[in-house]
Amino acid sequence: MTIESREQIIAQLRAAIGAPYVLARPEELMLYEYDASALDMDAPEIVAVPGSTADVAQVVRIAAAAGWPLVARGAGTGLSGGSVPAAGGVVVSLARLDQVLWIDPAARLARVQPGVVNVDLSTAAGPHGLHFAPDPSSQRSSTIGGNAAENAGGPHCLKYGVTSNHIVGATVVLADGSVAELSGAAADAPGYDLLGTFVGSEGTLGIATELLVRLTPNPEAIRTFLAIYDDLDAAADTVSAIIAAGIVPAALEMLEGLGVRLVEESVHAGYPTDARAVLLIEIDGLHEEIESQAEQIAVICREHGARELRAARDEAQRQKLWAGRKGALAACARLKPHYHIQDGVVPRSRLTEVLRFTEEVAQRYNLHVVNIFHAGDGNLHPLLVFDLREPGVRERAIAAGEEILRACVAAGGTISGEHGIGIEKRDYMRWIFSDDDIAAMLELRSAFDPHGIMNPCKQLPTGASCADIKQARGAARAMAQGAWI
Amino acid sequence: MNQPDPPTLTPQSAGELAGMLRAAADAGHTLVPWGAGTLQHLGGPALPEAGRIGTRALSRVLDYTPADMTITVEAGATLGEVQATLRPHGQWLPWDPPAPEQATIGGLLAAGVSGPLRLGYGTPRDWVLGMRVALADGRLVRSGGKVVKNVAGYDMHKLHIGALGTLGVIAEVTFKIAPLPEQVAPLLFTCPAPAVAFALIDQLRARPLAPISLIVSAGRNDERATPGVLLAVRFAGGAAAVARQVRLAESAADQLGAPRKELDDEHTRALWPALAGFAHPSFTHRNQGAAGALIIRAGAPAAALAAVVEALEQAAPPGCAVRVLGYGGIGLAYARWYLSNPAVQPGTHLAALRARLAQLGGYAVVEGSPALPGDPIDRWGPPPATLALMRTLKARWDPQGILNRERYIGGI
Repeated sequence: MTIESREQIIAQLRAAIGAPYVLARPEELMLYEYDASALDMDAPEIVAVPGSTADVAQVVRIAAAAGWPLVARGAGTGLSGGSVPAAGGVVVSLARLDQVLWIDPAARLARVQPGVVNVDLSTAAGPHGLHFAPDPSSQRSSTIGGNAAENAGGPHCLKYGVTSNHIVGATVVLADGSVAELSGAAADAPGYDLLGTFVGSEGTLGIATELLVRLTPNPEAIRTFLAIYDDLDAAADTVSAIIAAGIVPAALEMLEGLGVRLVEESVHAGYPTDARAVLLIEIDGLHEEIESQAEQIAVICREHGARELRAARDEAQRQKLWAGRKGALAACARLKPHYHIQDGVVPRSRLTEVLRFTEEVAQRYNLHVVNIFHAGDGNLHPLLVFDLREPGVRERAIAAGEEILRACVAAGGTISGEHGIGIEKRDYMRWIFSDDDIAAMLELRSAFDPHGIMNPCKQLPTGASCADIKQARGAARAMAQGAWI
Repeated sequence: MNQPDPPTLTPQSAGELAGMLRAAADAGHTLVPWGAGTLQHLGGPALPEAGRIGTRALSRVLDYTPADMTITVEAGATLGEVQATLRPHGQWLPWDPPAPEQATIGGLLAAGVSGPLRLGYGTPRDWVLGMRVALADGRLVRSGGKVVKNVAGYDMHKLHIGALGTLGVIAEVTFKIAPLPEQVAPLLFTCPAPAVAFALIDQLRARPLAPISLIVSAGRNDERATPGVLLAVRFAGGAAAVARQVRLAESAADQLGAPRKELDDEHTRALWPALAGFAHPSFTHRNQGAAGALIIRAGAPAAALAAVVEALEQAAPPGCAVRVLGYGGIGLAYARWYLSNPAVQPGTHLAALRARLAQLGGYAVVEGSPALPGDPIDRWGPPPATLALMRTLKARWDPQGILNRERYIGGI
């Protein structure tokens, strides 16, 4: 690969989608080096910002002809390096594809472009009494395309199911630049469920340029509670007891220890700063159901050692309680400027032991741990908080996170509930999948993308390292980097 | 004609299943994955020389902790066996396909069948958390996991749902499960015309109503059936919430002139399995013609359901009785064309139906057909544009095409 060929590709891209939408200056590219995790960084050689499906197809064709990798990027809020261009190449920013194309209230469907911010879809659907149920904590900034790529769910997965249950069709640009429709509004159309495997594929099977998503009716009634505990086991036992009573809350979130105090100091959500743990419990449904479940939950919380149960009196209070939960990550910056958030899942019945283990690990590595997570799903988010300026702390955080994930796997769980595998966990995949499992996944990937240009070096461990891939096509990159100095 | 029956392989473990597949692939033998055999009418006919590989011996519950609300079972367990395991703990898999007591989990998933509960609970695809599948070359591969949230690796298991066993043989499945609802209330309304039934469906889907099933039953030349159009409805949940929904539904039906039809307990119990089993060849109906029934599945965007039901009635060969079940809120419909005259060849009628459905953004698949001389039925209709990708995938996992050869779409 020569410097000319980079220039040629830039010229081709500019001719195809318009000069202003192809970024190539070092200071422009720097913005696309990282995602929200900040632990993995790598620069693209070019950023393309297409404005239509046809544009995306052209960008893919141009890159494919040159054998350049492509990495789709939404808002860059991912936490596992999924949109970091680990092998260089072209970052395809979907920021311009940000339109809700239509909402069909009768069919409860919406057709959206991938760059639509998650919460904006629910806002648009609101007047029809509908919303988009998957709501990652990043929903005010993350995009639907990114949510679909990572199968990123959020608190309401407990009752409403994970993101892939809410995506019914997609227009996808494949690695050869062709445009395919995967599934759609007609139920059970014949053929393999390509959409089912595309969602959650972290951009390795193609780039979605439109998504057909299911909208969920807003519930008639919602009740949100904060249950306050002086004891961690009591809080965890309450989670199991609520589920065992046959109640499926809309959300069942836990914040524990230090996290409660940090959130309260930052967001002033009304959390008691001295609590060992709090549960944020939300139920929704018909009025009668809410009444009876609210009574049951009050009894269960009391029986299982809650110090206090507070109910949000109105929507403003409810929003405040949620602001605490959803602002937790940012709140932790009050303690230290950086964090490494883990995303392990355990069977609900193993929550307490793994929670305790996170504390033990943090202590051993001389780090702070804050646990703020989807307790109802067993989806833990231990937040290891640190200051990257301390020498060696990055490595300690990674090692501690690794130990925690190993414990999740040992408890019968998995290494990611919603953040994806990306770069961060690629090599951990062997903890849960055999060589044969991974080989079958690579075969699936190669059926979609025989030359491996779609988001290479992500999600699956492969024989070749990304350093090798970069080296093989390294001249352009080296020259480009040299040119930045 | 005196060919010996093809051999049936009966592996006793997942490992043995995989080993037998490897041996078959090495020998170039084609195989039909076989659970209880209740859904073998789906897809094209099996090759005469194909052997069977049965999963019924793989029927253990491998892992069930009620508090975790997940269960892992071998694929040869019947859905009835799984429900019997869950029921004492107040839990269930909210899934009501045909013949649940006989059909195996693996077979039901491979066939991709759902049932009237899907309006309220989604399809089994939404409840499967992971699988172990034996690929044609003898690899036993896992995808997904045993916890309710998991994004590690591709959801390969979704590809096997509805693939009729052409990509591998399901060996083991983990499901997310649900608490049994406190109460389920079934209702049946008699509507004077299809338009009334569809208007009622719209009203029953408006907040706060949340029916778990909405099945409209209509027909043509079906004199011996109940006159008019029937709408079967179920609500589920807490007793008080169900009671209010029933009241609201009755009042909406009253205003539209669709009286409630009272059924005794026995008929109510029989109704729902009958609706679930309507598309199954074993379903019997007084209109069963001399030549038997052509069973058609049609899908379209949910809003087009009325037009789909009408198309299924209108496109049928002249004079033949037709019964159609439409899944309200889903956009799925099943039809039985009772071919009274064995000389009737439904091919052109099917083509006309497909042309009409294509205008609605839909499709039609033939799920069962009587043996008709000289009229090879086009079961699948025009293949999707992604067929090439599907073929590539099939070639990756079953390069010799030993699994259910030629039975799937596009002759896969």
